Amino acid sequence: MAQYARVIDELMQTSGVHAALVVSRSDGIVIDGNVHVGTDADAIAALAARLYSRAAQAATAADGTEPGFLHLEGERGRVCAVGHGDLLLVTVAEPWTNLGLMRLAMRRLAQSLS
Amino acid sequence: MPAADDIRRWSHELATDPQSLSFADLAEALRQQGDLETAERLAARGLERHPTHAPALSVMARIAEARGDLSAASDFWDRARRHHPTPTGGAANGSVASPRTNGHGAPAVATTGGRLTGAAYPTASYAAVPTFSASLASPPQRPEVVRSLVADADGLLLASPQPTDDMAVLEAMAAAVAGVGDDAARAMKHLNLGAWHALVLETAGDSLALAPAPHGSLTVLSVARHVPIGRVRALLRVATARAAADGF
Repeated sequence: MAQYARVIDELMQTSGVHAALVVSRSDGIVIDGNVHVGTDADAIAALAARLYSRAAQAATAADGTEPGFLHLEGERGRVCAVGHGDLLLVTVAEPWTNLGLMRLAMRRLAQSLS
Repeated sequence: MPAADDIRRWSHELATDPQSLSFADLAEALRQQGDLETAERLAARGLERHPTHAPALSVMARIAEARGDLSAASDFWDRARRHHPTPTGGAANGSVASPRTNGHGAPAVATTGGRLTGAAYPTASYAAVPTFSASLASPPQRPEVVRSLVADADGLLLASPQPTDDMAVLEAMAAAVAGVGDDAARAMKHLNLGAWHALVLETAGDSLALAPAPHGSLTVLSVARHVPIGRVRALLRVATARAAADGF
């Protein structure tokens, strides 16, 4: 779990990030995470896991390859997720967050999950 | 591709009547022949006299796309749609049909990408707004877009530039993305993040990009893996604007 804490702490230090979670990809359960007050970690985990799964199915229909980094943009924020095995690294961030930095960090950190 | 006779006729019309709307036909013909500079000059000059002429705006959009200026392309598509916001059928082959040659008489009924555009819609210059299916199809202009489609809320294919190519794959994609839009909207609502406007999933192969369209439909792009992710988003914006201009 210490490795998860390190990953989560690093992501939470990114400006604009208000939730960082390690989630079970198969059932959408939170394994570890840190969220700002008022943020529902369980809801983020469940919704992100489902969205990732559905998007992955669509990508598979297109060319049958494994999914990687996902980002969903909304008016008031964005959700990012990247899978590694049965784990999913999820962040929720402000719309002005540097997506490029977050993407690189999440892809790198996801590799350290096991 | 317009015939040489058409080009001569439009040139003559424009020479004898500088206010003529045939400048858009002529610009589109030149664009199709690859003379982007002359086409752009002609369309831009015509837009000075007719700034809301949708066919000319769509020509400018396609020229911008051909040059890779996706931001300008989005703006021109948006302007074309704003000036003709009613859903319409475009020319299926992407040609710009003249408002005059289409006539202002009885409303026409036309099919576009499997859709029926009803008689209630005006025809005239609306027909000049190009179809979504004709837009991203050209390999020289959009080699990075592997597949693109519009899927309805029930997971059915509405339109695609490749209707006869990979039909099974396109239909499978349309079916597979149907729930993704709902899930994206649900996630945004629960997390109080407002309406969603883009979803991009990178994979080991092609990237998948989605954006919402009216009535629960989705604009979907499958983009080659070598395309930078920022450009994927830009392509999605253009495709979305273009689909909207086509009434999807």
